[in-house]
Amino acid sequence: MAKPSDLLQGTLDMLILKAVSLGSTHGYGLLLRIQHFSRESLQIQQGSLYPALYRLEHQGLITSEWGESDNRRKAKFYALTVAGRRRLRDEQDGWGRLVAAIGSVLNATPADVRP
Amino acid sequence: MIARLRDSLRALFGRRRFEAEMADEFRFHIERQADDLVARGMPRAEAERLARAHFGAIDGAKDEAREARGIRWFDELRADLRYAWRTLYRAPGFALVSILTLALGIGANTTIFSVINGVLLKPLPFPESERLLHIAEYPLGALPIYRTETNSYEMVAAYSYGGEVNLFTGNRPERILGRAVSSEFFAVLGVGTVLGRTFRSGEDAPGAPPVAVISHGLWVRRFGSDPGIVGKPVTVDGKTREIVGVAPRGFAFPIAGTEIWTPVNLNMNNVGETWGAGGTSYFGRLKPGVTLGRADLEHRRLITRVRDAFPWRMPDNFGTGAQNHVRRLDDLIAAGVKKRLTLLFGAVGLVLLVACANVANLNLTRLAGRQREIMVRQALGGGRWRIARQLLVEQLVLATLGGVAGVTLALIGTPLLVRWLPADTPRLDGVRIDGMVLAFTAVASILAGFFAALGPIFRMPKTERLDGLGNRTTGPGRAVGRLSNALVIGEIALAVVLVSSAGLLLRSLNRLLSVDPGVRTERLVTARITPDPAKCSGDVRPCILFYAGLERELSSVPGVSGVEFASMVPLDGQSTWFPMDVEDHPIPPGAPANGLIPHTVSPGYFELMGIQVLMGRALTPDDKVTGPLVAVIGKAAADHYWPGISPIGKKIKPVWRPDYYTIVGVVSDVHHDGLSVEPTLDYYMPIEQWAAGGMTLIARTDRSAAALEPALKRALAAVDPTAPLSRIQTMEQMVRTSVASPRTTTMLLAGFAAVALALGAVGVYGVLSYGVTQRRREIGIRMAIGAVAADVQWLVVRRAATLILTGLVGGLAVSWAGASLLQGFIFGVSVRDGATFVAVPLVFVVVGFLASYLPARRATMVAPREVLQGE
Repeated sequence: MAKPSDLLQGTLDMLILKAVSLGSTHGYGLLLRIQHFSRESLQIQQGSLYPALYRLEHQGLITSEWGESDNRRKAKFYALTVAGRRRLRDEQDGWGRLVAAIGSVLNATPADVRP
Repeated sequence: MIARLRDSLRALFGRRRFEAEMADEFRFHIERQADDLVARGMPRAEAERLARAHFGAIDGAKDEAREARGIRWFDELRADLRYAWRTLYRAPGFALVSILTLALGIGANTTIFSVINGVLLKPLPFPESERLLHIAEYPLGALPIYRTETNSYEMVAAYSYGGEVNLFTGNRPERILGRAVSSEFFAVLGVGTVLGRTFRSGEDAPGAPPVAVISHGLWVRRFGSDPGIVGKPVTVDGKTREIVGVAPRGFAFPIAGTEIWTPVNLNMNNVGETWGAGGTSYFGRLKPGVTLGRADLEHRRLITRVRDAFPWRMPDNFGTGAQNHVRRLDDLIAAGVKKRLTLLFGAVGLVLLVACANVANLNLTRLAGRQREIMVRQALGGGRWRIARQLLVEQLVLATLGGVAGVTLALIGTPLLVRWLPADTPRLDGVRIDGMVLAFTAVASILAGFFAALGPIFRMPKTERLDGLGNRTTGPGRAVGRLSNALVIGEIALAVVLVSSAGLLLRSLNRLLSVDPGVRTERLVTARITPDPAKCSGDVRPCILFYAGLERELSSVPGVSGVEFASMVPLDGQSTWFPMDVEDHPIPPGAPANGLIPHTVSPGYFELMGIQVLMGRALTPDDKVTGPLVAVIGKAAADHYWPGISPIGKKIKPVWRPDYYTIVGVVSDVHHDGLSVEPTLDYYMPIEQWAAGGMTLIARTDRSAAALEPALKRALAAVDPTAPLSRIQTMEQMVRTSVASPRTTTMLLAGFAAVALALGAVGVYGVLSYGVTQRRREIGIRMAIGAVAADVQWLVVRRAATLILTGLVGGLAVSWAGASLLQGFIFGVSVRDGATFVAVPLVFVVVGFLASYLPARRATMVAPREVLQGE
C-alpha cells in the first residue's frame, strides 16, 4: 500500500476550509470528505484534525453549532464564515500560483536553458 | 484580535462546558468511525478498538485543541502555581525567610506610600481642587482689588493668619482653632453646609450682623448635635454671634482641627486693621481653562497695584521676592513636608531593593541545590523558557505572599506612623490604606518578584545535562558565585548609603538637641492665657489689671515658686516682626524698613528663664505705665544695629507709634524660632508699657503640667471666667515639639537603615555559609595537608572582607557623591561629615565579622577524613 503523501505545511487548513465549504458537517464527515476527494491518497492524522478545527474557529473562519446527525446522535457541525470564505479563496489562488510555478520549473527542458 | 480574546475567555470561564463539548465531539467521532467499520463487517468490539486507535492519543489532541483555543497558557500557569506551591511547601524555611524579608520591605513601602498618597498625591477634598490657587499673603485691605480687578478667577477669598479664638458657651471657656474669613471662603472651596448656610456676600462688611459657621465636630462636641442649632448664639472672642451653618463632617480648612469660621471685618476706614495687620492669605478658584502661568502674570501686575494702595509708602521691592508667585493650593499645603516624605520614600525604596537582593541571593543558593532537579526537567524536555517561567512563578508566589503580609504590616504600621508624625503634618486625616495604596503594593510586589527571579533565571544551568546528572560533585557554575557576590556587594552598598545617611541625620539631630536655646527649660510649666480682646487689647490699663490679678491668684497655688508672663515663649511657633524706626538707621522712602521682633514680658521674666543681662539693666516692676518708655534688646539686635558701640540710651519705636522707647539694657540671645534658626533680632517691652493681649504664663514648679492644670484653671477663672487656658505643657515639651519633625525623619531613616544593615548582614552570612558548604572538599583537603583552623577561618574571613570592603567602597562613593541631596535635612554638620564617613565603615567591618563568625567556625569543624571518604 502506497504511503499517503504527507501534507504540505499549511495546506491542512485550506483542505478543511474547502471541505467545510462543500456543506455544513461534523468533524468525522470532513475527514471522510477529504479522504474521498483525494481518492484515499490524503490521510489526515485524526489527532490533528480537531486542533485545526478549533484553531480555525478561534480565528473566526468557521463557526460551529450542535445539531443532530443522520443517526440521531448529537454532533457538532461546522460551517464557513464570510471571513473563512475569503480566506479559502485567497488560499486557493495562492495554491494555484504555487502549483503553476512549480509545474513550469518541473516541465522545463534542456532546450529551455539554451538561449 | 478582540474576538479571539473573547473566544479564549469564553473557553476559560465556560471551562467545564468547553471540556464536556470537546469530549462529546471526540466520542461522536470515534463512535461514527466504529459504526462504519461495523457496517463493513467488523465485530463491534474490534471496530471500537480500531477507531480509538485511529483517533490517536485523545489527551494529546485535547491539549492541542486547548492550545488552539488559546487557553493552554492558563492550564500551564495553573500547573506552575501548583508546582511552585509544592516546592515552597517542601522548603518552608526558605519560603518563610523570603516571605518575611519581602514583607518587611513591602510593608515599610506600603506604610510610607500610604502617607505620601494621603498627604501629597490625593487631590484636596474639594470639587475640582486642581483649580484652587494660593495667591499671596497680603493685608486684608487688598481684598477689594482682588475682588474686582482679576480676570483669571471665578472668585477670590481670604482668610486670616491667626488660628485661635476664644469660644465661650455653656459657661465654659475654650480655646479652639478658628478663622476669620472673607464671605467667599466656602464658595471658592466649593463646600456647603449640612445644616443652615455659609456666608452671604456683605457679611464681611462693617456693620453686618455677626455670624459664624461651626465645624461638624464642634457641633457634636459642644452642642450635642442639636438639630436646631442654626440661629443659636455662640460667643467668639467675647463677641456674640449667630450660628448660621454647620460645615460637613471632616471639613477643616485651612488647617486640620479648625472648628469655627467667622467673617472678617472689612472696614476700610480702620487703617490699622485693614492695612496694619499683615498676614491674610488670599486664594482663588481659577476660571476653567485659565493656566497657572496666566494667573501668575496677572498677579505680578497686581502686586504693584496693592503696594501703591497702602495708606503709607511701602518699600519699592514689595512683593518681588521669589516666593511671591501663585501656586496650587495643594502644593502650598504639602510644601512643608514634601521633601521629608520624599526622602523617606527613597530610603524605604532602597530597603526594598536590599530585601529583593537578599531573596534573589537565597534563590541563587537554592538554585545551586536544585541543579539536579532542573537538569532532570530539562532532560525530560522541559524547555528553558518553561523552567524559567516556573522559577518566575515561584518568585511571584513568594512576592504575593510577601505583599499580603506586607499589607498586614502596613495596616498596623500606618496608624502608628500617623500618630507618631509631627502633629502639624498636613492632611494626615486623609491617610489610609485605600485602593491606590493597594495598587501600589501590588505593583511593588510584582516588581520585587521579578527582580528576585531575574538573577536565578539568568544563571540557570545551561547545557551540561549529562554532567549534571552523572557527576554528583558538580557544583553550581562559577557564574552563580559571581552573581551572588555581586548581589551581596550591591546590598552592602545600599545599606552603606542608608546607614551613612542615617548617621548624618543622627549627628545632625544630636547637634540640634545640644543647641542651647538661650533659656532654662527645666522645672517650667507654660500655659497660654488669652483674655477676650475686649478685655485686653489696644489699651494697656485693663491688661495690667488682668495680669496683676492673675499673678496674685497664682501666688497661692501650691508647688509654684514663681510666675512670669511673656507675649511669646521661645520655640512656640514663628515670631512676627514690627517695622521699626531705629535711631542711627534712618530709612529713605521706598527702602525696606528696619525690623525687630517685639516681646512683652513681666519684670522677673529674664531671671526666671535664665536670660542674662549683658549690659545696662533688666526690666523692673518700676517700669510703669506712667513712667518713661523703656526697652531691652537682645544681643543679636545690638550687634546688628550698633556693632561695637553701646546701644544703651538709643531710641526705637514701631513706625506707626508716636513715642520712642529708650534702650536700657542688652540681654543674651534666645533661639525663639527654633533651635536650628539663628537668634532673631529681639526687643523686650515691660508688660505695663505694651498691651500684647494674650500672654504665655511661665510657672516655676516641680509638678507636672497635668497636675498643675486644675489649679491654674481655677486661678484664671477667679480673675475672668470667660478667659480660656490652653496649651499647658512643660518648657521641655516645647523644645521637644520644636524638633519633632527632624526627630521623626531621623528615627524613621535610622530604622530603615537598621533593617537594611540587618538584611545586608544576613546576605553576607548566607553567601559565606553556602560558600563553606560548597568548599567542604577543598577545606578538607587543605586540612588534611596541614592547614590549621586559623588558615581555614582566613579563607572565610577573606571572602567576607572582600565582599564588605567592595560594598563599602561603592556605598561610600555613592553617599559622598549624593551627599548634597541631604543638604536641606541636616544642621550643624557637613553633608560630608568626616566622623560619619569614618564611623560607617567601622560599623560595617564589625557587622561583617559578626556575619562571618559562624560560617568561619563551621569551616574549622570540617572533618577531613569524612570529606575525603565521602567521595
